[in-house]
Amino acid sequence: MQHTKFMSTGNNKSKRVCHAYPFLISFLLLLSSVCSAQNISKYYKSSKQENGVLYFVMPKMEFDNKSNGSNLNYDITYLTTLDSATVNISFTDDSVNSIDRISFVQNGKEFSSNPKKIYIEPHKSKWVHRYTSRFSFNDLHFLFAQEISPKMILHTSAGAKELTVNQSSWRKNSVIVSRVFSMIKLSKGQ
Amino acid sequence: MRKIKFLAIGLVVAALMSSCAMVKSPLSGFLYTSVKAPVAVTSNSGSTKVGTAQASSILGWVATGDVSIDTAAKSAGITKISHIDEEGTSILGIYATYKIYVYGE
Repeated sequence: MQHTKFMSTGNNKSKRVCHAYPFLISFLLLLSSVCSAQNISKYYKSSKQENGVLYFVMPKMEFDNKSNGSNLNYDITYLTTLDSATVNISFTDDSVNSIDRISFVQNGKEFSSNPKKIYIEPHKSKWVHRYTSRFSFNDLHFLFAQEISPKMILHTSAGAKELTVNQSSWRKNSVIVSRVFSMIKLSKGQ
Repeated sequence: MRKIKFLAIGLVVAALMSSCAMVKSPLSGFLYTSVKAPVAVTSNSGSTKVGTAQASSILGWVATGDVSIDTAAKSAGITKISHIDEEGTSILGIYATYKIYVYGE
């Protein structure tokens, strides 16, 4: 009788272990999907067009200027049949001065472009400047392949505004963007 | 005073037990959601621009953002829309984001 009771307890234990497995597997899958730095598919979107493939990359890196509290977010759109990529920026600042030139400065090299204004609108006590500019795809790939973070300089009518990106954030995210650019080049067959 | 205290505690507990940040998505996972899906397609073809807009929610208590098609199109200077995609992300029902991608020229 006692033996039967023991058996039944053992079955319950094994049942409980069986029920725990799906949760354990789900948790591990979740952990791998969230933590995996190698999975670059969530960092870009692609769309097949009549004249090539359109890629959209949104780096999770913000340029800022700690002294005046301004910051800049950007995204990159690239159509594979073109040599240049579109870099759209959202610059949040106190001033309303228009931007005449955007430059990336890194290791003594400078990549510049003359942007076009999309809009300017207020956000809380500041202004959001939205501009579009074009940079060579190869220059951008070179920029993101470097370990040292670049400076971004916005040339305005009231002078130049210098913005920097956190070095650790750059090291972490530039690798991903560089891998996306490498993948685009490989897909093009370059 | 004691009744009000109990009522307040009850409300907080009820909010904690029932609320979680849900996101619009064709499929949703209890632990983690990250799903991309189509929203709309037009007869325009040949996209060269992509615009985005995003809204986010914390615990299902606070939700903010402008995720309108107009805002997404405006962000990239799009005047002719080709198609629109959406992306819903949620982590443990604590933080959720909803994003739309507008393609066009």
